[in-house]
Amino acid sequence: MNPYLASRRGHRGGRLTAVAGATLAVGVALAGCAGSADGPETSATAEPTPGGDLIIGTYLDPTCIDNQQLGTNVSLSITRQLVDSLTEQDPETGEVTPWLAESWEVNEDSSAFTFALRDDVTFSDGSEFTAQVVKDNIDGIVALGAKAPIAGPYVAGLEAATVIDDHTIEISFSRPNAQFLQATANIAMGMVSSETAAMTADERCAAGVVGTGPFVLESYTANDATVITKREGYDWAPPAADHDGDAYLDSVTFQVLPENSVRTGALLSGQIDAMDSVQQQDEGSLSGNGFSMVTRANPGFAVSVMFRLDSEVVSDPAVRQAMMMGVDRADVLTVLGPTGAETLGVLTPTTPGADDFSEFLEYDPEGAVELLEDAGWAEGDDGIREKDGVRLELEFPYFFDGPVVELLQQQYAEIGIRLNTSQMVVADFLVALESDSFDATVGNLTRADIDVLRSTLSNTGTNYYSLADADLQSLLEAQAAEPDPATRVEIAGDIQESVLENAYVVPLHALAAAYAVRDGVNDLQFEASSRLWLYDTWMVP
Amino acid sequence: MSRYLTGRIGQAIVVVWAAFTLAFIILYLMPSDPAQIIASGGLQGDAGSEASEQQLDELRAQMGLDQPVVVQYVTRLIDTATGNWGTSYQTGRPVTEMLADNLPPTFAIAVQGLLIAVVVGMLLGFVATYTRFGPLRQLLYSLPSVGASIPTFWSALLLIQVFSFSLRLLPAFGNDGWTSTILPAIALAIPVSAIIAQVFGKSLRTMMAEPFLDTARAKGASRLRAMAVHAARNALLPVLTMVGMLLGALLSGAVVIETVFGRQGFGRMTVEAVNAQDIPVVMGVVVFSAIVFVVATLVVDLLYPLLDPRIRQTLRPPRRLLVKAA
Amino acid sequence: MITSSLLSVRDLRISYTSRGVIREAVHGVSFDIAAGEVVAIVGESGSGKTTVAQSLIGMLAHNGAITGGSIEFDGLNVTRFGDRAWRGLRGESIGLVPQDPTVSLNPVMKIGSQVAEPLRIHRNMSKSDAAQEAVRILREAGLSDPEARAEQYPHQLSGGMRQRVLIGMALACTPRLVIADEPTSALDVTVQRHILDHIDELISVHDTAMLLITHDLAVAADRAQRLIVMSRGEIVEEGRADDILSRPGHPYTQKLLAAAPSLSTPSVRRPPVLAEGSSADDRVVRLEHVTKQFALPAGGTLTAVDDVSLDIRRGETLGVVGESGSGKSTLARIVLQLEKQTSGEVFIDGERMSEQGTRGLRALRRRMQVVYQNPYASLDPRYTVSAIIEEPLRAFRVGSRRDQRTRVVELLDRVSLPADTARRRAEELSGGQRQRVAIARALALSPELLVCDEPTSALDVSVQAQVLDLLTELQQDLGVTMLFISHDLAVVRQLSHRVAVMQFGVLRELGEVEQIFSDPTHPYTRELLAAIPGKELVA
Repeated sequence: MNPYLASRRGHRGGRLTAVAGATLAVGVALAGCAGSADGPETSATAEPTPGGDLIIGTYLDPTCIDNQQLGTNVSLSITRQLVDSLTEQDPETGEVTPWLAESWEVNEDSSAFTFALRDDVTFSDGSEFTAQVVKDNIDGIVALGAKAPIAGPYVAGLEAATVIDDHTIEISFSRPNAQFLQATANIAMGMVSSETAAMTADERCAAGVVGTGPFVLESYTANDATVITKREGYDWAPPAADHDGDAYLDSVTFQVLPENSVRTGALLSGQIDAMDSVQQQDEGSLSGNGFSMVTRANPGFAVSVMFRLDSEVVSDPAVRQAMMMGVDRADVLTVLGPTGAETLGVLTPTTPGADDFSEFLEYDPEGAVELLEDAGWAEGDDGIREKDGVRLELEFPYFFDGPVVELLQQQYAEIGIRLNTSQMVVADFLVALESDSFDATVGNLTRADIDVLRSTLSNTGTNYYSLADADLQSLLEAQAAEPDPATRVEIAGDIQESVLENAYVVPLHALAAAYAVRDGVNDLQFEASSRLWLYDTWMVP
Repeated sequence: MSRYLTGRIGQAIVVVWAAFTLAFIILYLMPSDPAQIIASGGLQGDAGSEASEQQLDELRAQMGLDQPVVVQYVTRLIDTATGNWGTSYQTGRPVTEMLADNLPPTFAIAVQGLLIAVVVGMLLGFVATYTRFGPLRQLLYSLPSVGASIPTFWSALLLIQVFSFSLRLLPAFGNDGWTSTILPAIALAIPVSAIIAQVFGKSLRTMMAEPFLDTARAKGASRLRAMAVHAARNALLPVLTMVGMLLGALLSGAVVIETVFGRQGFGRMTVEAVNAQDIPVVMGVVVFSAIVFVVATLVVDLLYPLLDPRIRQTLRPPRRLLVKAA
Repeated sequence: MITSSLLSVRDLRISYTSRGVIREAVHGVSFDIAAGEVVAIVGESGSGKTTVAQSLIGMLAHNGAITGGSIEFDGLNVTRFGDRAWRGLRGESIGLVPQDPTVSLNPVMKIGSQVAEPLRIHRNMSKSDAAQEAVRILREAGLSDPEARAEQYPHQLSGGMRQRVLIGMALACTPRLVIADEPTSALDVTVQRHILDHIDELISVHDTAMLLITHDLAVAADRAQRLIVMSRGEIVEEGRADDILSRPGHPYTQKLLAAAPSLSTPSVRRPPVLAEGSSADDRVVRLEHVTKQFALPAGGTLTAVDDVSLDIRRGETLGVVGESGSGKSTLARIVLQLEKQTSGEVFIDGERMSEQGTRGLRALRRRMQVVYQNPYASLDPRYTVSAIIEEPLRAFRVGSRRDQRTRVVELLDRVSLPADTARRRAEELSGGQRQRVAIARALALSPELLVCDEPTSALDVSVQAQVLDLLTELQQDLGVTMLFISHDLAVVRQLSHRVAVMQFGVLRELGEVEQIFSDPTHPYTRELLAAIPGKELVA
């Protein structure tokens, strides 16, 4: 059941796809759900004890310990423990709650936000958290320019960040900016010290950020491990937390182990306590017998086939709609295992404001074929369709989600569409996008806010996907300017309907954070964007 | 001798400069835009491509990419020559610092691996040549091919499975002390020892056919003595040449091992830099590798005379005393 | 059965196995060597003498085996001895002096350690004791400053010194029998004499028996008490040296004797008379004060040719004799202008060579041709004979293809090779045949000057004789002028009208052949002549 189902919709009778053998992860994840009777210390009713050094194996190196510069899953999972945000978003309800800001006011058209800050917060270097610090942060983000790819767009259109008094700050924009409140809860807008904010991007990467968080950066060794240690005297946890005061864990080590089998083996042999990115083939050995899975779907724009809408083949709506219907999403989820989750629409289930549009996502290969035939795409000799001498072939570069792309290739071949896929590194991929030498690719964007639709589908900016639907664009702008949350959700619904009816994108699945922990590691939690939040985590050796 | 050295050093400088220039040309000819790659956040999850053109331009200016190519080349050349190797686009740290961090772990396993390979390889080559037992000899002759064909990836995983996960003898990852270098060094050593075994074995067999081996046996030396004392010393020279080349190749080739074993290292740093078009780091890697190769060959050349007294002697005029008997 | 013999070989058969085929190389050889006796086995290549020698020390090639007969050494039947058993004998009771001193010593081991090795193996001496003993052995072997020599490496010693080292090594444990396998064939003739003298001394002092293996009948005659002549794996004749030499019984022995130039009495063959129509002033080659210096990598110069002036008259053969390092080969190269002289003038047919451009040189090259020493190296083994001989014709575009083919057949005939040789590849031919092909090639352009650089040194004695005969014939028939380089005085004597003697780049003596041989003026020439083996035996 989708907890974010807006009341307007009610049950749409969408078919909830039964997933064979896949772990559906919807809703808040609680650590320590050991399946079998093993493990004496796994009872959820046991009292959390302070102490312990948690070792987590991760698949990627964070590269730069700066929440405002880098937005990979791994780096954000680390930096969340080091910095606090002005607000917090409740992972269960999606509601924005106070954190470093005790309260706030938003003006009528959501163009000015005034925050009243706590007065008892200090950074790990001893400096006080004041309104000036917030202003320094905002100025720092602007100064980072293109090097702050996530936070930068949040403060686009900034007019001024004005210090009203020591603990009050007003942030105003030149136009309505409804998403900004949620943005302040994001890790990318976590608060760093003024000293950090004043450094250049390189310096910040070299030093790591200084924050107010429950942990402090102890060391970062590239391609090896990042170690963070408990901050003594931490006393400003958000209300959603389970306890007050210092974090339980003494330290957390994020050990980089890119090779899947090594990461799994390390966990199984007790050399690490937890790991991320559990693959489908390893899931079996990590559920039960002393281990358990902890997963949550990423909120935001689902992983979808993104079209370059003015390319010859794809500009035909029949093709796109056929591609929408030609995907067996059950298979996709099987292939992904725990690192994927079902999506019911363009927005994933854990996105506040998501809804059930699963009727668009039904697997109907016969219907797809019919659609194509009607549109004049006749089957050629090699099984690939043709129309007016144009073959139904798509140039499909991609840089992630390989197994799913390969699956798509097979599935589309069955209805007569050929995908010419080529896996690339980021550098080459960006070139391909720029040079218009592609027809489609896969993409996604993780964020626990509806505005993620605008980030992806707006045609201001680089517009790789050649979006031209004016109505859609105005809807996107409308939700950005809408101060009333409920109305925003409605507009979001309209956007999704428009997108799905026109098949501007083909949603495939949601990404999921897929962790496995050994028994004795309790309360490994996720925050609203499905990144780790270790404040309440405790362990038994 | 010093004339020889200065000549070689001059050559070395030319080689390094050529490598630098070639790398520069290739990197700058690539169509991708480093500014965009950074702005895209590596596309690892969450960044949209929302940076404005103006922001991208600012970034490019910061990285010095807005200058004409020739100016960039000369600037970089002079900087490199004076020790300023720039800062990484990806991590923001000085390239020299990154090298200083990443080299020691790779060096540790490379040197260890090389030592293991030399010992095992030479032993293998020796026994293969010495044994008269047909099946054993066939087996030992075929081992080098097998060893060279095993993908390091696979052997690394196998070693981890057996020694770390099953037997719990050694760590599977990290760089904590000497024990963590053993498994990676062994994995590295396998293909290298295959090469050395083959080179040394072949060299030994050639030496065994030399007339002075007959002289040794005619003096009553056992086959073992003839091989170990007479042939082996002469057979070492090709091995020495190989070792010089191999060390350089090991440094960069360790990337697979480093990835599997979760170790920081030169190889991984290189691969990541190339993927992200982190030009300063890539250039730094190229220049450094060129220097390593050049130094390694120079050292090998200087070591040769120590092993082979014939090379030790520069040519002297033939003595007039040649014909006179005692 | 003579049980007092030190070595007793009875009906020895040795076979080699190659690709499953067994081929017998030694067909039932029997002989004895008594204690202290010197016996020589003489034979050409393929006679089996080396194989027999190898079997006496248990060092046959790995595909060879004794397939019949017996070998008894000092009362022990060693026929079936394995390697371990042989090890006890080798170096201790039987010593081996190998043939080529340049390759028979370990290049990376000091001389002293190599000489000490048999002592350490057999006598169990300590390192320092053996080292001391090694120095003594080196001194006894005739090396000056033996302490210094012991610390040196083989490449720092001359060929003669190295051979002394090898001799010392072989005799280190005072074996009862020493096998000397062509111990001096790689050395200059003067050095050869000294070495052989020295061996004689040493073995008489220690009462060692010696089995001398050689292809040189003269050397065998000089040094051995008994001779064994082998051909094609069999003993054809055996007996006391002077008996065999004065009254050779077997036709093969007779042939060998006849072919060995040094033992021929002067009356057997005379060099041909000068061709008609040549005057003493008609000089094909003239060298005036020619010097050639090479710069050495370590600094300093090597003077290979030192102020040499000579000439070669049309139709005559000038023999240039010298030992290694004498500069004779460099001289030949200067005549051919393959090297440019450092100073002095070279005139070919009156033309000053230093004035010639590349075109002029090329034209002159047509008129001079070369025959080299090693027929295995001077012919491309993959080429057919006809391609080889045609090559100069093609290079200078002489005649049509058909003409060239005809000429090839003509030339083959002239060098007494059957016409169908043209179709065969060089690698299929024997040494003698190859050298004939090389001569044919040299004659293809009808050169005025033929330079022969040690053309017979790599050949067996009987083959050598044939090639020399051929050259003599050509000399007479074609009137070709020849520059003949050799270290072998006897060979030079057979062919030359005048002889030049060189030493260390300097021309020591130049004169008519008979005068040089019967009444040499320069002391070096005398030394050379005295060193020719077998001279004493000739009446």
